[in-house]
Amino acid sequence: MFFTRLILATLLLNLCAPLAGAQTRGGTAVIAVPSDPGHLNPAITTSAPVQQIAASLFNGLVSLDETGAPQPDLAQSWTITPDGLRVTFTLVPDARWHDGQPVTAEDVKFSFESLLFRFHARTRAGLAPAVEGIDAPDPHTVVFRMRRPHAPLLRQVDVLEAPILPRHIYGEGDASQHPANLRPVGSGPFRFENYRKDDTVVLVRNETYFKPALPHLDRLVFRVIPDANTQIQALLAGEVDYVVRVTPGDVRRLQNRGVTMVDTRGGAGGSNCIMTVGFNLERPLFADLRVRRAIAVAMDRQQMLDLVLFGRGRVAEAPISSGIPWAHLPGALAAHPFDAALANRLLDEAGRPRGPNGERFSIDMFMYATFTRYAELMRQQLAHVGIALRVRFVDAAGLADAVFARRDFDTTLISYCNGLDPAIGVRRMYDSANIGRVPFSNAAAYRNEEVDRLFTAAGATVDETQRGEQYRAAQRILAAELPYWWLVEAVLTTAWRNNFEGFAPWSGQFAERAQRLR
Amino acid sequence: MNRVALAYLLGLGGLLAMMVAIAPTGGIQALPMSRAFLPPGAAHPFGTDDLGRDMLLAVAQGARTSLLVGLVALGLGGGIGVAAGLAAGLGPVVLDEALMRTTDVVASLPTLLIAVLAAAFFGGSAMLVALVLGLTRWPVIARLVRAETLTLRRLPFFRAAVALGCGPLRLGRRHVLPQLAAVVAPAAGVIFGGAILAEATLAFLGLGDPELTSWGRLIAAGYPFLDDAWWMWAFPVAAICLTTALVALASDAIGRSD
Amino acid sequence: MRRLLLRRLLLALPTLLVAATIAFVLAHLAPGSPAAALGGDFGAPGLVEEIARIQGLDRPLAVIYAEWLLRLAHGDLGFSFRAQAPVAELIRDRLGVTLVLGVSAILLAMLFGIVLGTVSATRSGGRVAVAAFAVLQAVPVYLIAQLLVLVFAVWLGLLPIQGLEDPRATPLGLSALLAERARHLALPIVALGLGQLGFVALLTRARLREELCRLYVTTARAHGAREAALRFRHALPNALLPLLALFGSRVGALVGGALVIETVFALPGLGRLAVTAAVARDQPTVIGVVLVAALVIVLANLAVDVLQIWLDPRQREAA
Repeated sequence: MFFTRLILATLLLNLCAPLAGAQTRGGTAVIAVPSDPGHLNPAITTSAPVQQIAASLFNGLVSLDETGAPQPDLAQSWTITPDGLRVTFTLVPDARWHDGQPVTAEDVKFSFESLLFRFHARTRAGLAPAVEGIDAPDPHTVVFRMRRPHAPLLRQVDVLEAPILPRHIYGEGDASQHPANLRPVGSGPFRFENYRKDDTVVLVRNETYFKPALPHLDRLVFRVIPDANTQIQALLAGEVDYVVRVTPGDVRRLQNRGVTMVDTRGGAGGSNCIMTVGFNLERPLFADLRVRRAIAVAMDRQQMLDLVLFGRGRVAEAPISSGIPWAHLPGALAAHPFDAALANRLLDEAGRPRGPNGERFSIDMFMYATFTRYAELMRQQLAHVGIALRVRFVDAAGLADAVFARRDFDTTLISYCNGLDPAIGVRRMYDSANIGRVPFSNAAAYRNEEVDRLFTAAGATVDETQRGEQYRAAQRILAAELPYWWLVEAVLTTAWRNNFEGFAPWSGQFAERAQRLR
Repeated sequence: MNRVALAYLLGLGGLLAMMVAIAPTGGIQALPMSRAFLPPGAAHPFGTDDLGRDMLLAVAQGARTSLLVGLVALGLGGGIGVAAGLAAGLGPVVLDEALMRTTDVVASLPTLLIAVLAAAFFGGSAMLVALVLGLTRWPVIARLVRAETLTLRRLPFFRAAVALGCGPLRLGRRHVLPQLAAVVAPAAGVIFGGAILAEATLAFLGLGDPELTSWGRLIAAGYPFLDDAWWMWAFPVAAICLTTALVALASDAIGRSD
Repeated sequence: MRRLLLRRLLLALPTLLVAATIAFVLAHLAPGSPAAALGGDFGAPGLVEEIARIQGLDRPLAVIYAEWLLRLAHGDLGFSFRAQAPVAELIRDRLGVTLVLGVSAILLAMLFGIVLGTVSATRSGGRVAVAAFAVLQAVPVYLIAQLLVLVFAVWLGLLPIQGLEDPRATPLGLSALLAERARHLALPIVALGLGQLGFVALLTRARLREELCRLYVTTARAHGAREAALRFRHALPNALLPLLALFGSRVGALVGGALVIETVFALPGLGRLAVTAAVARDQPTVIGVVLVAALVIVLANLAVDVLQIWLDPRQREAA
C-alpha cells in the first residue's frame, strides 16, 4: 500500500457514517494554513504554502489516489507505446477554464514547456531531461516524445507536480511576475474569489466543473494562522474546520474532541519524507567511514521517535522510504543498531580520543529552527560518546547558501521528501552531478559511479520489479557507505471537524469531494 | 544607595548566584535525562521537560544566559547613555546639539524589529540581541542624564565648583555622576528587563540562540505544551518575573532615597 | 512652535535614511538569495540562476543601492519579489491593523497605568504594586496572549480566538463590520496593552513620588488639601509632562510587541510582513517595513512634542 491511513477518531467517524448517505451540497470550509502563499501560481514554485491553496484551482493530467495510482483528471485516458518512448494523453472533451474558454492540448504543451520545465523545481529536475518534445496534434490529444523510457512519468503529472495553466492567460509576459499569479484562472473544482495577503484566500465552487456533481462545498476559505497553538484552539472552537498539519504533540490534545485525524505520507509540500543527517564528505573528519558510522550508531533513533514524534512515524529502515514498498529495502540499516559502546570504540580506532574534558571533537549541524527538538535530543545522545554538537538554525535561503552553495558546514539535518517515486525525490541526494550546484539535493557531496549508474538505469527502466532490484542494489551500497544517516520517517497528520467528510489530504485537490454533513 | 535598595539587589544577587551554582556546567547537553513530562515532585521540584530534562537545573542554567543578556545590554546602553548625556550636558553647545540629534535619530529606530531581522538573517544569538538592544536603547538614559546635568548646572554648589576651577571631567565625575543614580535607575531597570524579554520574544519567533539555555528559550519550548505541561513555562516565567520585580523594587527604592 | 516642528521634520529625513540603510545593509548581507527562497524547498539545476536573472538580482550591490535610493527619492518603495506587488501597497494594506492595535494598546496602557501608578504612589506601601507592575511587564506577551485566549475565548467562549472577522459571515454593513472587528481585536489589544501598562504604572509612580516631595505639594498639604486631590489635581499634571517624552520612546517597543501579537492572533499586520519578507529574503519589503516603522516612531515623537508644548503653559509661551 502506498499510503498508510489511520483513522484515529474511529468511534466518532462511525457515529457520522449513517449521515454520509444524505448527499449535501453547499457550506463553507475554513482551512487553517501556517503561512501566506505570496502568490497563487503552482506551476512556478514547489513552495508548500502555494501548493496547499492553489492546487484546488487547477487540474493535472492525472490525479493520484490514496495508493498513489494514477486516475483520470484532465486526461480521461492515456496510452504508452511498448518501448516507452511515446505517451499519448486524451483530454476530457468538456473541460473549461474558469473564464469559459475550453481546455486544449495547446494549454498542456504551453504549461510544460514555458512554465513547469522552467520554474517548477521537481518537474524541471525530474521530468524535463527525459522529455524530447511535446506535441498537440489535435485539441484533445497530447503526445510526450521521450528521450528514453521514463517510468515515473504518470506520478509526475498530477496537480502538485504539473498543474495545467491556460495559455491565453499566462502566455503573455513574464510568468514569474504575472498579474494572474495573484488572480489565477484555472480549471479546477474551485474558482478564485479573493486573496487578502497574510489573512485569507477565498475560493468558490466552480459551477461548470467538468466532473459531474462536484465539488460539493460552496466555498473554501484558507486562513493564514502562523501559530500552531492558535490553529488548534481555533479548530476546537469551530472557528476553523480543517488544519493542514497537526504536530505530533498536538495529536494528543485533539483526541476525542470531535475531530477526525488522518495520517498520510504526503500531500502538498512533499511526501514520504525522511529526517536525514547529511555528512559533509568534503571535510576530512567525515571522509572516515568509522566517524560516520560512530555518529550513526550513537543516535538512539527509537528514543527520537518516542520523544520527538510521540511515536507517530517509524525508525528509518532504509535510505528509501517504506512508503515506496517496491523500492524500499527492509532491514537495510540493520547493521547499524544503536550502540554507544561501538560508537566509542569506532571513534577511538579512528584516532579521535577523548580530551581532558571528555570531549573528542565538536561538529556543527545546520537545520531549520522547527527541528529544534531533534537537535536537543541529538545533542544529548552525541555528548554521551564525546561529540559536541553545535546547532545552527537557518531558514531555507540560509540552508541553500551554507550547505549547498558555499558548502561551509560539517553536518546538516534535512527532511528529505522521497516523493512517490525514487526518481523524483531520492536520486537527487546521491547524484554526483548535483554536487554544489543544486540546492536541496546532494548535501553530502556523495560520489559513487555505481550508485549513479543504478539510479540512471532504474529511472529508464519500465518494469517495476526490475527497477526495485536496481534501487535495492543502490541502497545496499548506501547503507555500507553511510553518506547520510537516515533517522525517522514522520507521518503527517491532518485534522478536520467531524461535521465534514470526504477530504483527501494526500492529494493536491483535497477538497474536491469533501462535503459538509447535515 | 540606600539600605532597602541594597537589600533587594543583594537578594537578587544571592538568588542568581545560587542558580548559577547549582547549574551544571558544560551546556545544555550536560543536563541529565529522565522521563519526559514528569510534573513537579520530590525528585524533580520543577518537573521535567518534553525530553525528560530536569526543569530546575534548566532554569538555573538559563539564569546565566538571561542575566548576561540583561547585563550586557544594560552595560552598553547605560555606558553610552551616561557618557553621551554627560558630554551633552557639560560640553560645548555644538557638541550638545550634535549628540542630541544623534540621540533623536537612534531613538527613532525600531529596535526590536531590527533585532528580529538581524536574527532572521544571521541566525539567533543571545549576544546579538544584547548588542542590538544595548546599542539602540541608550537614548532614554542619555536624555535623562542630560536633563539632570542641566538642572545641576544651575545649582549653587556646581557654580562654586566651576568657580574653583573644576574641569568638565572632574565636574562630571565628582559632582554629577553621584546625583544620577535616582534618575537613571528606573530606565536602567527597563533596559535590563527589556533585553531579557526581547530575547524571549525572539525565541518565540524561532530566532533563539540554539546553543544556550535561556529563560526565553525555555518558555518558548514550553509554549507548544501550554495546557498539558504548565511547569515547562511557568517556572522560567516566574524566574523572569522575580528578577524584574526585584530590579524594579531596587530602582524604586533608589529613586526614593533622595 | 512652527520652528520646532520644522526642525523635527528636517531631522526626520536623516533618521529615516539611517533606518532604511541599516535595513538595506542587513538584508543584502544576509546569507542566501531571494531567488533561492522563491523556488521552494526543492532544487533543480540552473533554477536559482534563472530566477535571479529574471528578477534582476544578479547585479552589483552598489547598483541596487543607487537604484533603490533614486526610487526612494521618488517615493517608490519598490516591488516585492515574494508577494509580486508594490511594497507600498503591501504596507498600506497592513498599516491600519498595526496602528489600531498599537494606538489602542498604548491608550489603554496609559489610561490604566497612570491611574494605577498614581494610586500606588503612597508614601510608605506600594511595594506590592511595584512588584505587580514589574511582573506584568515581565511576562512574555505571547504567553499573556494565549492565557487570555484560554480564559476568554476557550473557557468562557466570549470572544473569538483569531483573525479580524468571521470568514463564514455574510457581508456586513459598516457598523456591524466595525463591531465585528472590535470583538476580534479586543483580546489582541488587551494582551499588548497589559505589558505596557506595567511600564507606564511604574514610571508614573516613580515620577509622582518625586513630585510629591516638591515644596508646592507640601504647601498645598499644609493648606489642608486632601491626599487624593493632591495627587490627581496638583502633582499628576506636573509629573505627566516628562512622562510623555518616554511614551514616545515606547512606540518602538510596541512595534516589536505588535509583531508577536499579530503572530499569535493571526492578524495581517506590519510585523508579520517583516518576518515573512525576511525569511523570503524579500529585500524591498524588509527595507520598506523598517522605513515605515521608523516613520511611525518619528511621527509619534512629533505628536508627543506638540502635545507637550500645548499642555505646558511655560513652553507654550516660549514657543
